[in-house]
Amino acid sequence: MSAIKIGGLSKSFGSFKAVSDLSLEVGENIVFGFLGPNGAGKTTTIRMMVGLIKASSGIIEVAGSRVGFGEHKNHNLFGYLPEQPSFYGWMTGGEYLSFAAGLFGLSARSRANKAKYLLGLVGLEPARNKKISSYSNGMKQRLGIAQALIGDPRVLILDEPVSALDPVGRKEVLNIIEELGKSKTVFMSTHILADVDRVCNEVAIIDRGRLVIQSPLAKLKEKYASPILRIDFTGDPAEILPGLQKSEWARKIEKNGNQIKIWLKDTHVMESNIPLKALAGLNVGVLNYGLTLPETEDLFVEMLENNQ
Amino acid sequence: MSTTGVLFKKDLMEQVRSRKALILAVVFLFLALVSPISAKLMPQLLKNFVVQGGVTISIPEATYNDAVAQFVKNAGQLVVFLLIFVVAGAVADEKIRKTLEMVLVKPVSRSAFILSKFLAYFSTITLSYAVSSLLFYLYTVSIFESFSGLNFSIVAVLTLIYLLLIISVTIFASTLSRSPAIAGVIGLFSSFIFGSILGLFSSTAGYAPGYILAHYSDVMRQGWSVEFAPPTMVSIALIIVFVSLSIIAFAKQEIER
Repeated sequence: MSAIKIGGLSKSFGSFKAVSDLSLEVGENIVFGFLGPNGAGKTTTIRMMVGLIKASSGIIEVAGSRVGFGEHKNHNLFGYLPEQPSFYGWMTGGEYLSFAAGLFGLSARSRANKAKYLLGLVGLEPARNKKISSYSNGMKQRLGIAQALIGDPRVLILDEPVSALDPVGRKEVLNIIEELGKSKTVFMSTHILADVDRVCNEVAIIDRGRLVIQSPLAKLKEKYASPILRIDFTGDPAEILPGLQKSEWARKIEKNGNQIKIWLKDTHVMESNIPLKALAGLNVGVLNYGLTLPETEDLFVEMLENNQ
Repeated sequence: MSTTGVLFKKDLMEQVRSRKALILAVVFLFLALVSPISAKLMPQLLKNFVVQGGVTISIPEATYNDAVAQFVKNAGQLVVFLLIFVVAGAVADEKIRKTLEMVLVKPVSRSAFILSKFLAYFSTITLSYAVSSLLFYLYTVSIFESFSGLNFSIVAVLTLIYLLLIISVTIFASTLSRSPAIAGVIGLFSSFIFGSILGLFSSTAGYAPGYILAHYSDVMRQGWSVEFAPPTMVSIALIIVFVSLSIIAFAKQEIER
């Protein structure tokens, strides 16, 4: 059974179509990356999924049950963490979790136990009795994950869960997400592609409200990403770039300081040593030369370019 | 405990921690103590003015009626203004701070969310007002003379119903708007309409929620009379209407970021 099923979902704001005929199916117990550039419609889709805004058309199912605007009875099926979550700052972390547990109908004793367990899970036990207004962004994000888990949902919906965090906070939260993905479906939107590489099993890319592609991440890389040749030079390779760009075997070249990345036409180019032969005729020093694994970022840019 | 109960408890806790409950307590303490004191001291202050040219002004001794007059006047004006200030952010503040979306994605009905706001403010205001009225009565009896506690209770209850109506309109406006200031202005405007304007026309005066503010002395003299039934019923009906409208309007609202 699918953990999440979205069919023909659309949302318009006046004449602007934020989401257009989006259909997705997400399996169980995976970390699903929902990718797209800013303004692609990720947050709008998520806010329709959790019932905060109304879909213009389409259906959303979580764990086999219809969810959406005006439906609150099935809200125990998912946990939600918005981008930059806002809490009642006058409450302590422990009080907030106890309050959230009460909304799921838990008894006073169960609430206290649940709050204690979840604070421990996200590493906030020492800050249990501190006011949330004194928490750092990273602590708030971790508390946000804890409150999303309070009803023991089968699906977690996280909107840009790490975008506002520093590297340490990001690492901590990603570790938690990775762990949760073993027993729950985690649906997370993000534009930080290094994070997708790290935790996601499957991704969907949307652009201008439309689905570009949905696939397991490994398959996507295998199928769509061109081989990329990375060369580190001893000096600035600006002078040789125009010549390389004219080469038939190079689809695209990106320069970053003394390094260039060349998207090759196919793997045959490397097997025939064509780039090496081309470099040999140029008067440049080479430090490093080799194929690099396509990163999600490269793939993402390529998919969006194709979509244009 | 039901979700409304959990939210109600949270809203009460918020009133205490944000010191709104303290403000309400101070406002109602002011109402209880300042009304009889000002009634008592006013004639003495006036006597201190020496009128030249041999003209004397006779100032009657203050009575408990003057204290009740001050109580009703303060409740209908200053207290209304301060209450509107306190409750205007009831829902709008949660929209601005974005705290409500973390609650509404839980198994919580939107009607429970709104109902708890009304219940929490109605409870604190009713409790503070009841204590204030009791204090006022005891203090007034101690500095003037004994008077009908029953008649004063009727005046106090009818005035409370009027206060709750203005609070209902303000929370309704707070539900519609994203701005506590706009909600406050609408609350003030409603107090002007219900407390003054409707009383100016003979066709509506007998049904106006502010009727008690103008005719409290009749109740003090002769107790409950049937003429107070229409404005009381209208006020209660309007409270129910504004609570219901708030629930209906909130159920249809999309929660934007």
